[in-house]
Amino acid sequence: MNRSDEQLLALALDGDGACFGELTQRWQRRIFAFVCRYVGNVEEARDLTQDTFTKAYQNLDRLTDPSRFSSWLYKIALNECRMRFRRHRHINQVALEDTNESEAIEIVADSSPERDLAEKERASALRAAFGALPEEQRVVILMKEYQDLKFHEISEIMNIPLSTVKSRMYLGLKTLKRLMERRI
Amino acid sequence: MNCDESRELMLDILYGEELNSRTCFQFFQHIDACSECSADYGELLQTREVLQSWHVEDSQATAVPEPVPGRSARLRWIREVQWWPALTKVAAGFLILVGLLSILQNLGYLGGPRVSVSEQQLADMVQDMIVANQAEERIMIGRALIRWKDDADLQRNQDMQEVYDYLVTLEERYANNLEENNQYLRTLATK
Repeated sequence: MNRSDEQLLALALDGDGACFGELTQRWQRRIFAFVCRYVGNVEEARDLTQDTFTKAYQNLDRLTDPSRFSSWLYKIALNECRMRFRRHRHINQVALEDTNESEAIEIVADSSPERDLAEKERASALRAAFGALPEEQRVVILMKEYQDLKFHEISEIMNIPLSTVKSRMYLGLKTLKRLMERRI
Repeated sequence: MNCDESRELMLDILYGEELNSRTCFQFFQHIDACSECSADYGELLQTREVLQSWHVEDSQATAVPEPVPGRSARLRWIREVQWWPALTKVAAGFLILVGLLSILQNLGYLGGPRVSVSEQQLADMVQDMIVANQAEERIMIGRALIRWKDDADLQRNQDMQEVYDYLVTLEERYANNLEENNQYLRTLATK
């Protein structure tokens, strides 16, 4: 039986840890993907994802509206990322600009060597350009482009007006394009 | 639709946010007619295309431990709590409890000997308090009078000293004048 987030939350609040486990399973990949793109480092992302769910579990009873569980989770994840980033300011830039092939962030490439090379160059330019964007623009792009959140959801998570979300998105995409052109 | 309206809708169209078909049609009609907005929209599309090639291996999102089944989320704080602050809170709570029990016992609510005060004793206690207050007031007034007297003495002494100094000055001036007059008379006599 596929239970909704709200149902699982209600059971988790009644002490059913397995239900929270199910919620974790449901959301951990998306949260990990978001965090991984934010910090640009797999190990950090794994730790932060774990911290996000631990914090969510500890504060479950503070969630006033269970229908907004996912927004709440993103909010926690974003806070964790920002806190970690403040503690270790070097991580983000280094990781995003690192071109080490062992990185988990990768560009899917076709098998042709020329295409491989071109894609790698493009990937490197994208990572570097993305890392150079202002943080608030990066977060909005991550949430919209990769998490497929609605603009109003992003506005709720980031606690900013809808118009600000859109202007950050627009500016972010424009700046990214300009930065990439400069780097390729 | 004008360019400003088109720009407002651009991101919604780009990301397929819910819009009615009429608005979408008007947007694309404008894009067809306006080269500037068309270029703008094209740029955003291209950027999106590049962004979509960035994949994250999310299968690595393992190692997120599940909470222990059967334990309430509400009780988990007990394991997470830091013990020293918790201990101090418990100690404070204990002291408050002991204080409350002691008050209740004195009032006779806990079965111990209740302290009862007769009307006469109460009147005596009030009388004692009034007497004590009066005594304290008297002492305070006495102290204030002594301070005032000291101040007055001091002021009087200062005034007397000033008068004395002034008299001394006058005497000196008189003596000087007398000497000068004598000298003048002597000078006249010798002439």
